[in-house]
Amino acid sequence: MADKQPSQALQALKDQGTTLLSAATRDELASKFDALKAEADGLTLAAGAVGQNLENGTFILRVDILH
Amino acid sequence: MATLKGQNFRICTYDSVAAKFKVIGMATGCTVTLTNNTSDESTKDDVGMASKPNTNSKSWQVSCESLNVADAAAMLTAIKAMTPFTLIWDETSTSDNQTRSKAAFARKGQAYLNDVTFNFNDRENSTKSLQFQGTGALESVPAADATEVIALGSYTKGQFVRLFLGSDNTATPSKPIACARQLSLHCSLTLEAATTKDTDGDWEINEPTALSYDISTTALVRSNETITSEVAAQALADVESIYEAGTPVKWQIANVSGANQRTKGAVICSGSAVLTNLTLNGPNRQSADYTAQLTGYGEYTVAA
Repeated sequence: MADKQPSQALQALKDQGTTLLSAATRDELASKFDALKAEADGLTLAAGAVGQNLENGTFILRVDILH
Repeated sequence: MATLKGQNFRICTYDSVAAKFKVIGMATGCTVTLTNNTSDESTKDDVGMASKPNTNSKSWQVSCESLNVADAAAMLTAIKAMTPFTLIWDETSTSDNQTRSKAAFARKGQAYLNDVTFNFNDRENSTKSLQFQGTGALESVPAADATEVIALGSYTKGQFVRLFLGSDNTATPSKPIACARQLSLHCSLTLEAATTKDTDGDWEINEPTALSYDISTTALVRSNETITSEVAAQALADVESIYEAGTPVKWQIANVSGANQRTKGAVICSGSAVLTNLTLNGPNRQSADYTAQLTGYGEYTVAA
């Protein structure tokens, strides 16, 4: 799972059931997640706890699709 | 001859979408317990004082601790699904600590995820504890089972995940617990032995019968209780009111950001709960604090 734009993330969600969003800041990550939710109209998404990669400082959010 | 180190003794779960086993990532420890359930077959006819344990059945449990809470929603969904995982324990390569070596001691079996605890404590890495209860037989691991190596994970400091608590069971909660220090979410799946005379072999079969959860939070107490009006958070007086009402209230556990970590982001899980226990502590020359224990009322929801 690598960093993806919302449309790529949505396709990964549909294909694999899970995807990983990443961003340089928490606010940017929140925006990406909001965009993904907007694109995923009709699908129920579940979010994990936002983490931070200590090696590069990137913020990461795992998103799963609920069936 | 080198001896096996703990970092190379790992638990893997089967990912049905990827069709591969994956190690439980960012693990800090694991324990596998194999039990022969015995009864004493000694009788008065036996000379001496010694017992004679006789095996009636076999059972097994696996527990694992990890710093990966990014999959909180997935784990909370998995325990609710009440379907068994396929687990493996095996030796892993020292080159990445993940690639399975298919050791002679490796075993595979079906197990229910029957206990999950998340701890989100202030200024600490958040943690996850998983417990699995085996159901049915263990078997040697076929060499053909593939394992996927996973990427390095991320750490979650506990102050960035907060409990939002409502004052009733209607409105979506908008206020976090003021001055919170600790938060834990514990889910437990009750299993009952379903082994019968029809069951082949000695292995215990288990089936899920009930799911319960509780939330515990510890917070400091602001003097004169001014924090509610100042920063829109639930202070001790609010929590006492919830206790006095004794009725369910809405809750959410969510990612937070912004000033004082109070801006609610993606919600990890939510539901209703009854405040079943409230403990206030006033130790001499230490900060007063309180611990609120909430018991889940109905099912929780995992949806952002």
